[in-house]
Amino acid sequence: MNPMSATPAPKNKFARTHPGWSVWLRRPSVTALSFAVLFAYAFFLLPTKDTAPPFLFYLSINLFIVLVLAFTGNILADPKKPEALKMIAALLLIAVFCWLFYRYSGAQWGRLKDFFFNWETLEGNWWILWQGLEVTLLLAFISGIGSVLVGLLIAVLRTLHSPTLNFFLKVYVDVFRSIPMIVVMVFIFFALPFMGISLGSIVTTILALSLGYGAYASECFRAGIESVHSGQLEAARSLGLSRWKTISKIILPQAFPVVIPPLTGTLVAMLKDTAVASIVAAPELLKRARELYTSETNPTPLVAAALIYLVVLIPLVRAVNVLENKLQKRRKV
Amino acid sequence: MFLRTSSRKGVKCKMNDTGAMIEVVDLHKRFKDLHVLKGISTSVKQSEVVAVMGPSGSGKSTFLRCMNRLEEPSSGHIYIEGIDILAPYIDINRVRTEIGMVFQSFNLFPHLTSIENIKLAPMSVRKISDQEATERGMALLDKVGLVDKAKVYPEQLSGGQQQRVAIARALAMQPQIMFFDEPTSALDPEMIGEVLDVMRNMAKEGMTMMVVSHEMGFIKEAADRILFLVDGLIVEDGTPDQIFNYSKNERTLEFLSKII
Amino acid sequence: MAQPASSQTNISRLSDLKDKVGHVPFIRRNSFVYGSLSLLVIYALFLLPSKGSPDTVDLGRIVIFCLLLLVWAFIIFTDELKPEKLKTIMVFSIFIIAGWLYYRYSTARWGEMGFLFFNLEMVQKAWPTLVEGFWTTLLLAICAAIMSTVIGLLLAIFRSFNNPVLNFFIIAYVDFFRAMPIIVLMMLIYYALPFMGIRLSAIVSGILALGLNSSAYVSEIFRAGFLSIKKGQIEASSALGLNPIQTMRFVILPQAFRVVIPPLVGNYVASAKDTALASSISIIELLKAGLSQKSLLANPSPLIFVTALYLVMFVPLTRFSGYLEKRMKESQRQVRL
Ligand SMILES: Nc1ncnc2c1ncn2[C@@H]1O[C@H](COP(=O)(O)OP(=O)(O)OP(=O)(O)O)[C@@H](O)[C@H]1O
Ligand SMILES: [Mg+2]
Repeated sequence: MNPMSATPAPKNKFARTHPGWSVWLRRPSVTALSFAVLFAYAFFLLPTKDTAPPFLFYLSINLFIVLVLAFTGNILADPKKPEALKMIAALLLIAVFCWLFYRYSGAQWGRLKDFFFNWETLEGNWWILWQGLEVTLLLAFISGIGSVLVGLLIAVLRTLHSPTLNFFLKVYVDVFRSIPMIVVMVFIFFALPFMGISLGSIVTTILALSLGYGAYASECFRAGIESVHSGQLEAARSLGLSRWKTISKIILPQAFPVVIPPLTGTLVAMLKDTAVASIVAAPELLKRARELYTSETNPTPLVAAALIYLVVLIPLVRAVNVLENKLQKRRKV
Repeated sequence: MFLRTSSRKGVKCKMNDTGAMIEVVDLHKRFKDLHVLKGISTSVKQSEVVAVMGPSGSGKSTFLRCMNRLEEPSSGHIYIEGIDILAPYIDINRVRTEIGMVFQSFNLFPHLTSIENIKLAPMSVRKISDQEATERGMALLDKVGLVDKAKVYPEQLSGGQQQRVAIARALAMQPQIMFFDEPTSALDPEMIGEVLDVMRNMAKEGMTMMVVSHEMGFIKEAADRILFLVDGLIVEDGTPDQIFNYSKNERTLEFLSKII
Repeated sequence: MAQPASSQTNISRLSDLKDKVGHVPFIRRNSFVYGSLSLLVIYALFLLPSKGSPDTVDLGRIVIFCLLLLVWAFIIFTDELKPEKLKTIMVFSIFIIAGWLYYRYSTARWGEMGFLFFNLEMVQKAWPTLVEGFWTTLLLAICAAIMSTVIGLLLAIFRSFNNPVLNFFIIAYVDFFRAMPIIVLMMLIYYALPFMGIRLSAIVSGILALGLNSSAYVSEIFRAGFLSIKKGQIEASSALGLNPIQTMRFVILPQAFRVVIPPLVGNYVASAKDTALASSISIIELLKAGLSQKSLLANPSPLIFVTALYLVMFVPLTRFSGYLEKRMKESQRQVRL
């Protein structure tokens, strides 16, 4: 016998008076129980396809999802649980979601190959998608230059601090940041002809993207210029540097690293928005894919276009992320 | 004091020949409805070292900044070597090359190394060749005791070192006048000495200096005159001895009792 | 150092300034302003083509005129010493000149302008559809916001567990939806999925596309919010004896909120703007309503009205989210000092 157990436990004013629910939740027995409950639910309570009435059908599936999330979350949030168990919980979570989607989405999986990845429909049509991609990239390139120029012009004009000018520049930026890009394009393409201004779809797209994203770009530039401390300006001026020298030698080099990440983000968003140009019949990737989709009555071209977008854009999105993280770190130092 | 022309409208340059390096006449500065400088008149001779003292918010910084037009004065005249620098045809950037300024917060350019900070203005304003600018810059760094820090970026320097580079940067333009706006008040005590030493040497070499500072030791030793500023007015103007030992002004005594 | 010598040269340098009126750069002088202005007027009077639709050479002349005008304005605007009044007058006169040029050379039928563009009668005819479109837009925006918040929050929570397997899938999810243009996603869901037997109504497809897209951004926002709370904060509050719930309530949530709310609002506004894309899958939301009425009535008034409505709705929202973001930045700056 342990001699300590004979004496009554010393009164400890720091001792827990009751085990909190968080302690209870972390017991191994609760973990085991939760697994058991989940499996039981999956076997007995989840509806088979098309049996239960819709309301109960959805209720029971959603309840199951909530339970799975809660149980796995409970395991993953516990720092004392072994890594292996957490791994199992994570894999289980993913497996459950895949399984639920496979079972209840109502998809006929056998048709996946015929309708989504039916590359035969694209045979001889690849060049059409390729042309579309070329147009997309060209649109993005030209409007990218356009929007940077517009943004730079606005930012420079704003540094002149003329109240009248600033008012109009602010109105411009507000208007173009507020209207959805598609509305700008539709307006230029469908309403302006009534005013005697008919622009082709390509010109419409370039104009809309340059004007719209120019407003966003100007905000990036402005943030960069404002990030330069006013003491820097004073030091430069007290040395007798002229205004343009101050801008080119002091402000721009310091603003540059602050401007680049958000500006890249803006340009990538613009590249994504070129897809909207299909509404005004610009022959870019999405438009071309839709044409193929109609002529082949098969959605594979759409899927292919989506994949092409992903291949082009995912690296760019990642790059923007990296740039932004770098900037954040630099700010913290 | 005799001014040959008093109108600022005339196109011809206005001169005033008191022979002073800096001549300030009835200088006013307002920020919207805040009247900060309420008519400052004084003059500074060549090679004179003038300390500017006064309570916080009395307008010392504003006074200095008006004199190289970092702030635009509301009214009054400022003559540097007899030239009215507020005249409309003055290229203020050329005036500023003659006036070095050192800031409380150093304001070194963080994207440039020490030597690049120093070279920038001589090369882009004075159009001096890179080689010559580097030579001069190294000489200046030697003078402030920082030759080994030439290739170092400001963020890797201590406060005192940054301020000494800032002084070297201002000196690189070979100014005739140096303004110091509380150059040591952002520094740790052990670094103040190294900066004051540099300033003392400059004073000995005959630089015309205006220094906003509350470093009594330095002022007693190096300053020829003290301007005492209260609420935008010069309430006392005299040698350190006069002010520290024989002042009768209430505000001065009160202020001095606080900082000593 | 040879101080006296250099100071000699300095004096002569400064003396250059004396009597040198010529030091005002040429383009800043009043004579230049008046001279160039009169040249512009002469150009306008004699070189601009006469009224009517212009050919290529005429068009070139007009373009050159506009460019000259803008360069001239730029020169004046970059001069700090010119009075503000002059600049104000210039801004307005540039607008007037632009309007005049347009009036003079466009092929628009001016007599019908009122009928075509600001035709309230047409707007009235289109009114029921437009109202319906407005409610649809609102429905899309709200449902997408709810959906994205739920999914985004869950993703952020599970991301914070730092489990490598989950992280891989979550990052893949986020990247996928951030890289996929919304309009492509909508078309995939609405046009492609039915071939696999997944038939969703247009509205549901729209909400799904908007919500999935926005959930990726929302999860990143919440993640940034969680990350923004320093370990020291939790340690400090445990040192004060706060229990976990109190720590959450008084320390973590207020801080996280401050970081999360501004970008979250910005994201909701952005995704509300994106509802206009739903017109591409034949959802009769505001834009589609305007477009369809425009072709139905053969009059662009409904479209103009819809554009104006978008402005009226979103300018305040954009400003509001900008204001929140600015306030957050300022408060962060205060904390750091
Ligand atoms: N840019 C400005 N806009 C408005 N008010 C200003 C500005 N700069 C200074 N002031 C005001 O002018 C007054 C004098 O300021 P100044 O910086 O010259 O004082 P100071 O004597 O240098 O004080 P300190 O010893 O604290 O540096 C203060 O009340 C300040 O609030
Ligand atoms: Mg001060």
